[in-house]
Amino acid sequence: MKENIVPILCKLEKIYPPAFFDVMVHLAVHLSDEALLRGLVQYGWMYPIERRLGTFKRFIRNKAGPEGCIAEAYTAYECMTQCSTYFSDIINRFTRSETDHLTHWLLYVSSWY
Amino acid sequence: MVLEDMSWDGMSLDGNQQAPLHEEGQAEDELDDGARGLQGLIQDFRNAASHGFGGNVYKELMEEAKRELYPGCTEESRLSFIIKLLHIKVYNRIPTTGFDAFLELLSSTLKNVPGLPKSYNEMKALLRKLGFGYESIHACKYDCALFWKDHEHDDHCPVCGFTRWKVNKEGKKKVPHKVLRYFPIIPRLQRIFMSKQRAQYARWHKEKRVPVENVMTHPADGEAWKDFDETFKSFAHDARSLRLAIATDGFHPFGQMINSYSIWPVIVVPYNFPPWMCMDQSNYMLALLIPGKKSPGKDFHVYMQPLIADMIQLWMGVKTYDAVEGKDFSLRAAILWGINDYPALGTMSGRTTKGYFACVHCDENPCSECLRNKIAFICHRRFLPSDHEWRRNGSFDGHLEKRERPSKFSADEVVARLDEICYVPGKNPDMPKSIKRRRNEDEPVWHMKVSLYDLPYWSHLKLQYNLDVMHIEKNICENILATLLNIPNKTKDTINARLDLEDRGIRKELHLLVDTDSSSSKPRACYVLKPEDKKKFLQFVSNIRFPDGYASNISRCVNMEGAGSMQGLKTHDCHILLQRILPAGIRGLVHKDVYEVLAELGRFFRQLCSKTLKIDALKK
Repeated sequence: MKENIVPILCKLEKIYPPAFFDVMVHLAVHLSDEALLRGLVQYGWMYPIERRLGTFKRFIRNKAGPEGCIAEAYTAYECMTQCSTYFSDIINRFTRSETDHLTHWLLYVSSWY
Repeated sequence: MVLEDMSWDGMSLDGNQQAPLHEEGQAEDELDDGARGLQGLIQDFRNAASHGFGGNVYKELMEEAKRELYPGCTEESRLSFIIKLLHIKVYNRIPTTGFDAFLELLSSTLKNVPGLPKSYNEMKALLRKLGFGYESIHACKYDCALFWKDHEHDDHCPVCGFTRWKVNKEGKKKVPHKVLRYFPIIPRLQRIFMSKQRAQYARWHKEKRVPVENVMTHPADGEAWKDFDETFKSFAHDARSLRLAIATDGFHPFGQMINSYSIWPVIVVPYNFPPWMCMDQSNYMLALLIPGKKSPGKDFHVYMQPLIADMIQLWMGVKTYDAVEGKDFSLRAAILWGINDYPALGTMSGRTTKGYFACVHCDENPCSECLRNKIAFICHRRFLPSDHEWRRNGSFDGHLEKRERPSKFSADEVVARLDEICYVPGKNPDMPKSIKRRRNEDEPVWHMKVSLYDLPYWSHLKLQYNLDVMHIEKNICENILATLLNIPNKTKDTINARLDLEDRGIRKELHLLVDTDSSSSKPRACYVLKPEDKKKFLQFVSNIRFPDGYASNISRCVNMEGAGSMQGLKTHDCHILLQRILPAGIRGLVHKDVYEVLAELGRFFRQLCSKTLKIDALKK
């Protein structure tokens, strides 16, 4: 892969005009090097982080103080997540049904194969 | 340990005082927290408190837990009932007013249940005891400094002298301009080791993980992790040492289109856990909440100070109680890398991500070139081996390619360069211009030495920041699609792009055709679909059916009206499109060369994003 991506980009250069190659296209060259250092891509991409930001966004109820809303809601959420690990008889993120877990797992870790 | 004083618990009140849970020998098997209930929760608090952690919360909890919900209730104690009730409120995001109304109805109707809480506020006290809360740290309006440590009681910013308060009137409560919320990281990491189950999982990466030769399934298989272990042996020796990632990004809190306000949360992710726990949302700890209204920009690291101070302490070691061994140990933690999108990477690293030096891996002789109205990153033949035949082939840009691949600075070089940079925090417009305008003209690549360099290990890291594959895939896919479908304002095949080709004297067949009335037209290029083929392609995309949970409904983005286009693609749609749909969809519609290279590109990303990476395949 490390040596595959260079010919791919060279071939693209032969087809597309130079204006096509902004920095994002160029960065593809370095991805395999980074994967060797880091391990799986799934541990270093923004998908789960963006999902988390979405959760924070939903915490906001009072638009005059968005930060305060997030801080209060987050501390409550964090505390209840912690407590809920001790109760298997309530529905929480650890005791959800098998299919939920599967989707969840697919979303963050799997590669869509 | 026999906890006689805990026999109040609902479960053991059935007359059997020697409930099996209370025996010491069983404790090893009782690893599943889910089965332990309230008793397990309080037991963990109590054990930690006996080693001086977490205060005396457990005593209050124990008092509380002795109270019955109603006389003779055996199913639930009042405490566990309240915890479950709170859990429902928090997880379903029930508003406080609605929840209070519900409680009021319950307590007015069920008169024989005296233990029912009256309002949310009453229960909130419990939440305060069980959780950690957060610290509010005031900040200067212009992001110059935090009112923290030595400056905690100042009324004016120590850097620019601007007042700390928005409202500062006699007899009224003082209101600060900006408040940074810091969620102390040390107690949060310490709590991992309070429960046996979690503490066991924190050792997973070293004790339970089965490394397979040549296959990567966890960051611990990566070279960066191994290299870190090699360099810092004393840190790696203890499986409990936590390895963290630090992630940040800005977001607009008031809806998609309203970008007048930007909040920057900083999230910390421990990597010690097995994959299914590691990437779970509950494993993501919010560490900082940097307030708006404007994004902090270059002064981002002013706000990082509290976190960095704690991280330095965590690197030295913090005394922590370990539930598995039942004794104290010195907890250490290190930040392995940062996760950011590309603009945020610039903020986080203090390195430019714009202009000629935009690529973070190409410090010297970057492959950027100036075009008519933009900067392009071309000449990837420089990355080929020096004797490769394509380097001598003129059909790329009409030239031979003799240049080496761009080089990266070594860690020492970077630190040496960073030390020479002067940086003044803050954006106060009234600051003397001599201070404000002091630019680093001879240093085009770096803006500042960021606070992460205060961590003793930071400059030794092999991979400091991750390139975000998600956004790279999205941008590449959008570039290709917009050009393929010739979407106005988005396509890269513009008049200027054709003029660039003329300037370089390459690909004569694509040069603009000048008509008799001095207007010009673009000849059709092989990478743009013909109008009838475009319809076929869009038809194909809108007819695809995916397996459940595989992708969103991409056909919603297809607009068949008029010339036809695709709009509103989400990042994950691009992920699927680039890897799977695009190569299949354009086959037969474009020239074979175009199809083949796009298929290869899709295959590259598919391999890169697989859940088990083969090391030899990566190096190939």
